[in-house]
Amino acid sequence: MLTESEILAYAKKATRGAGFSWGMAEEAAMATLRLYNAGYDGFLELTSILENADGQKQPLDIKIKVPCGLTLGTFYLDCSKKADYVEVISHLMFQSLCGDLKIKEPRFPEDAPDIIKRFAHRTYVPDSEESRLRGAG
Amino acid sequence: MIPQVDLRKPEEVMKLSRLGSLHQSRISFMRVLLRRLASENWHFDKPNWNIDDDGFGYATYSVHGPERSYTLVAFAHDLPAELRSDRVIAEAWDCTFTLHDGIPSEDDIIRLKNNVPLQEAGRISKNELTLSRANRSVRLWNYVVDSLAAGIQPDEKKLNDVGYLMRTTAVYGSGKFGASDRSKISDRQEMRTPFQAEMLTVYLIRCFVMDLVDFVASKKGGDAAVKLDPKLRKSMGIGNSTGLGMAPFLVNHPALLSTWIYARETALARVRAIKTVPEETFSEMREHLNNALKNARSWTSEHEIQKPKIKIFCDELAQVVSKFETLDKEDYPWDALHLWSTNKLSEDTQEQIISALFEPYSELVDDLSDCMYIDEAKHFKIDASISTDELKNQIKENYEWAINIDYSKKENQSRFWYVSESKLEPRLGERFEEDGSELEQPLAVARDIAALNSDLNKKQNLGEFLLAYPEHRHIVRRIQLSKKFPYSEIRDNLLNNKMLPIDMLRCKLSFFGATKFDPRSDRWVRICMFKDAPFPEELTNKDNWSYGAHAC
Repeated sequence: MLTESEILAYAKKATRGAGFSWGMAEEAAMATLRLYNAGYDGFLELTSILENADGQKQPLDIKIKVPCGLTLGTFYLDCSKKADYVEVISHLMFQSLCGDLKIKEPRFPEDAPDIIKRFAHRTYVPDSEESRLRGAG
Repeated sequence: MIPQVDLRKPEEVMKLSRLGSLHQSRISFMRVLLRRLASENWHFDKPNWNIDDDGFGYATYSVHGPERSYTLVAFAHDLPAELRSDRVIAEAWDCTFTLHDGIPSEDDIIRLKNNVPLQEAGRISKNELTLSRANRSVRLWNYVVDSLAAGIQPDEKKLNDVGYLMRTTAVYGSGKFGASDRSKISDRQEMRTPFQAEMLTVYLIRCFVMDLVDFVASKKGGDAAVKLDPKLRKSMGIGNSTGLGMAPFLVNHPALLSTWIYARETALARVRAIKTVPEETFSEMREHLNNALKNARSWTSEHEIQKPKIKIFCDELAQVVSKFETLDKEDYPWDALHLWSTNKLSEDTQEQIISALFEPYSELVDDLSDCMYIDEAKHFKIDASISTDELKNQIKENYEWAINIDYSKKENQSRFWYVSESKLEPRLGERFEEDGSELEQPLAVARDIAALNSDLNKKQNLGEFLLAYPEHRHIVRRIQLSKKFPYSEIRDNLLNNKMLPIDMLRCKLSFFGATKFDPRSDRWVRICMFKDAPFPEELTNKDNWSYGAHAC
């Protein structure tokens, strides 16, 4: 079973890997963890956000018909607005950010889905011999 | 209300060079741990010792507190010399460890046996708090075993030059590799101060290593073998070899860092406010400074930056000791000593004096270790209801040092922090020589503050601004934290070509309670932990071990 800090780390890296900013990735990570703690599949919710955003220019437009739940949710959170939108990508993520989630029994995943790992992987820098020689750790 | 003078200002304290000059003190996490083990009368036992004649196998060491028990499960392996490496990229070690939450069952031991020796490639569970490994000191292990097996005590100087028989190369906790999350144990009284599980792990590793060396020598030497002399045994700590992996911690946990520094600064402010000092406390302080000097003289390093630093440190401490003979014993003598040192001495010596000043004042200092923890999640939310003008004012107040740097100059942006693909570890790259800077980690605080500042050119609601500029979101969060936590930010450019990552390591390690800082380059350092600390059967309420065997 993944730990809270592993969920946070995967979600943050994956969100960054999909092109969101670091600050948005922090929000996504907290919201993903909140979803797991409330009994929902956080990575599943996050995946639809990331697949939608992948390759798009940031920041995403929230005025379109079905906006990104992370972008709109964060904006609502900032403006203290309630999650009154219905048509939004990954509605549970949107609610996790700015609404009231119905709390169920927490269920943490055994591992992160491959797609989350693939997005996270984009934030790593391949090792070169030079970096290996310079870097310690 | 305990009287105190004004705290030192963040702009004075939070420079990287000063943070890289800190020393262990009464509020260091190792000392907090041992004070608790002693005052609560924790019991120790060794329920398992399944080590063969060559020194390989496993053992368990349990500690029992008022409410809970914890057990170190230690595995000793037959490691070929060519595989012995301190790098995080190593895949095999002399010993591997975990701290189990409670008393492990036989099934737990089997599970741990299949996972702990693999370290990062294995998996522990929420019933474990840490994962660690250690390698023998090549200089000392065989020498000590051979000496003891032959019935001879090893040479004291040789032992002290190194300071340990094994050094850990990582001590993972807080939800890493399946271990329990910090949030699950932080409400326990004994785990409230940070890194207590990690410190307990290392303390028990030391017990195991010292038992192991005696055991291996006795098997090798038979009747002729002797045990390591108790005085020498006590002088041995556990080494630690730490690289860049630890460096980003202080940047990634700004509120926590602030609580640590705030505790230290409050302790200093309280001691400086002491008006009259009795003669016996003067004598005690003189003794502490003398011991600090003896301790400093035992630090060795071959590193070009550290060698002169140690020399100046020793020379200045000697000056302080002799000044002490003529110290004016009028009102507020510690304040006077502190102010004198601030004007005359290096940061290393100033900070050593500060740590020494805490020593006679357990009643003013020790309780501050209860304030070195913060629930970071409670301070995560950005207050986006303010205007961008207000944010700009906050930048002006706390970050002028950052916006005044000229980032068009190469030297001010020459580094970038990244995570390596092969070991998923933080590394430092050269921006203008290496690929990968587009994947930079968000540790470029100063530059990112300046970038935000230049985009704040019209008055609007912060929420609206962040919708348009999400790239500034992480740094806005930091600015808001710095308003609540004055010591949250290292006030230096972490991308500068002259920045020394070892300063960040030293800061964190001093709060652990480490000594004998020995940098091996600008980015990794060897240290010693629990050197001269009492073993479980020697624990007393006198917290006086950290300056060595000479301590009063």
